[in-house]
Amino acid sequence: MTSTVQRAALVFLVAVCGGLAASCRDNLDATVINKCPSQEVFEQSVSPFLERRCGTLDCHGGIARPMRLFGQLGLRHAGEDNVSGGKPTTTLELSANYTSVCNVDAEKMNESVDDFGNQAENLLLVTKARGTEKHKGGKVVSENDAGDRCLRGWLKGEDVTDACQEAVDQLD
Amino acid sequence: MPRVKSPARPLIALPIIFGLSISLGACRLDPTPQEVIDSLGPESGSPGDTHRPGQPCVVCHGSYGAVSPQMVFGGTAFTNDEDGNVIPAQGVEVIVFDSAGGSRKRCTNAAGNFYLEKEEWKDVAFPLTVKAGSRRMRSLIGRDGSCGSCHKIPDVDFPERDPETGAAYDSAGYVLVDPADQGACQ
Repeated sequence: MTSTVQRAALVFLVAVCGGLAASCRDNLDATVINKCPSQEVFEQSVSPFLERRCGTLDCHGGIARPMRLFGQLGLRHAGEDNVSGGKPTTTLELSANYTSVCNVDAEKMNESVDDFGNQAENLLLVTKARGTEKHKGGKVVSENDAGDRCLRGWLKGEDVTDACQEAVDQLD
Repeated sequence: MPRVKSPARPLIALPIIFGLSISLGACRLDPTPQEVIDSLGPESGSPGDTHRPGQPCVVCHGSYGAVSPQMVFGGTAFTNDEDGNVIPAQGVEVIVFDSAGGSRKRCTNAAGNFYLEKEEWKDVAFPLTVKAGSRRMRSLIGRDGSCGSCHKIPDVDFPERDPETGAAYDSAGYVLVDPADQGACQ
């Protein structure tokens, strides 16, 4: 009896391993293109706010931090020769910030873009910033304040120039 | 031959696992701050207000390091002498502003050190901003009360990129103040 069970278990195990191996064999070079709202708007308006408010060296400007942000007053891209507090944020850094923010919550970001930003309030970018999701940095924006409008507006494809600028000005 | 099960084994293992859990819990090792503490090296003099200038104070004088006094904020101000050498800035007024509108003032001591004890600012609200002498810090302080965490002092393991400020790609360099700011705060 025991031996029959063991044999059955062995066959099952081999089948599972075989299935896993077969499923991994194909599409090894496949890539998934995640969607994200406008890179241009992000780099012009959203990144400056995130750099100032979130990208300090002790927060998301930390080299090992999730949603790592580069910026003039924070972490500089290791591929360039700049120092913290030196030259303005570079194109490479802005692009890296976009990639970083878009991939915090990639699947939900896809859904949000497909839904024209109507699900933006479920994204970690928004819930963490609002403090409704546990966030070591605490509450960063309040609902409908300039920072919140900057983030949500970008996610909805709106013009956020004024909101983001207002959010930055409040930090000075 | 039928195998004989030994029900005693799990019973013996349980107290061992429990004991190990308690021991590990007592150590409460957190590798991130511990790595920073280990990197600071041994004490060069005796512990006190002027020791370890430039190092991240709160990593030891905070909840993990648990060294007294417990600090909410601490750092070291530097300036340049006539030859351009970086030296401790003494008697400089340092004002820390929090997000709730509060502020606290301290004077740097002979080593350039300054700190605020936790008891002196229990409801401090991050992010903070700082004015050291006549210079206002351009960025915010998000969550770390140790100036030295971001204003790392360049050394052989951490070469500076800007020889004037000591800044690097992941460090704002020295907390540098104007030489004329010294002595204004007693």
